[in-house]
Amino acid sequence: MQTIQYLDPTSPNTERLRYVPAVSALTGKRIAFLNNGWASFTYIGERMDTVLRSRFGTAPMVTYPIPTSCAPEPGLLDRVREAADAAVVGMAN
Amino acid sequence: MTHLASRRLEAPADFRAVFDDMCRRGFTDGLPVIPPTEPLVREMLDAAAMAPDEQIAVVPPEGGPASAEKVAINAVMAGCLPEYFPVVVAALRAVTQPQFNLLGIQTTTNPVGPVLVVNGPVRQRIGVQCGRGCMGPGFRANATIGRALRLVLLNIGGCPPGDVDKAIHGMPGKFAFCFGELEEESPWAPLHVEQGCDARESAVTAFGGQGTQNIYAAMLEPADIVHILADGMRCYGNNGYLRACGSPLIVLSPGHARIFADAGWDKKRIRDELFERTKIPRRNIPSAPQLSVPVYTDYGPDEMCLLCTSPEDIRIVVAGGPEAYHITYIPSFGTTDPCTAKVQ
Repeated sequence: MQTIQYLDPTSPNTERLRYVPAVSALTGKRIAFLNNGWASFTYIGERMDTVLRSRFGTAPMVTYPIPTSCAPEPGLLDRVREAADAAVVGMAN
Repeated sequence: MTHLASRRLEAPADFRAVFDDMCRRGFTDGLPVIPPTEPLVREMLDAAAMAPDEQIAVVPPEGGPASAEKVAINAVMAGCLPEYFPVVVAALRAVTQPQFNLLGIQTTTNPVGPVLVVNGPVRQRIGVQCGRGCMGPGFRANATIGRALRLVLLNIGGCPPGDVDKAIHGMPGKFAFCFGELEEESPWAPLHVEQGCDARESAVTAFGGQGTQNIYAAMLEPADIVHILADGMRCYGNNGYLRACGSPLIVLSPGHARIFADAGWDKKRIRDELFERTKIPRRNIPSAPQLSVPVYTDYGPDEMCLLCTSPEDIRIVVAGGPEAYHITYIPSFGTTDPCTAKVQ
């Protein structure tokens, strides 16, 4: 069978794949909440904070306001990475 | 001959089989594509005298590096002629400027997509339609340049619909949305000059547009035309009102432009009138809490909600058929600024 060869149009950002180590347990862990200001997300964040602290013994969640519809300010994600062990970054809605 | 670094893929040498293969791999926008063979990609690069490894941009949301080779592959797929490639490159440079907010536009639930306006001599050189039907089908340059950008956003930006692109409905303009300004029929300075270019240069300006709204304004007096136009724009369901920002785009026919100009109206006067007439008092908008907490949430009942920050944010171009019948209004996504890149 005759075939045609063509070039791959994709260009994955392989440099982006720097994994944040997964936390093995939540007790005492610092949790960041990147809040884009949606009322529903604020509510979810408050509930998650309550559940995480009461059920898993995390430290109180720290909220970082981020814009509603564009990227966080430069440097914010690095600050979160330094200050937290895990982060809630979106609602996936 | 410089090496092309992209992975080689094989498919049966049959038009439909190649398309099926590329569809299965998620490389297309759902429409048939031209297989990007090495000779076609080289031809595309040669037309712009670009080295394959020249980096053009980093494309959100995945941050994929857009080399000239990768962009050329997508331009071939879209059906671009080689002479279109410099315009595709300029379009990509425009949308990847930080002020355009491509990350937000690529991932939002809003239907927004890039709207490309082409200015300068390149329009005639490559056949960018600026007149009748310029936003519709039938013009290869318009269709394939816009489509090439979309394929780049999909394949290099890493933005498949549903998974990452969360647009609830999307909109047809996300396939391709590119037209030229009919500078020769405009009584005013063209868009790229307003954006800081020389009139003799060619450029692409990208807007974050939510789609098109037709406004039938077959009137002969400027005041009546802006009355009808503003009424169509005064829609608090459009994103501009949520944040009081963005750049609404008005596309006037040459006929409408002549009515304004003959009566002594310049773009500034049109903008000022539209900005005032598109204000909405807070009491007109339901007071129940909204999910996204608009900027006007705590306004007093008589405080005015704004479509954008200032009159200067309203952009006006002239394009389309000559009749002073219809105006096309392209509402802004809000958190985005129009960005211009010159065609090299």
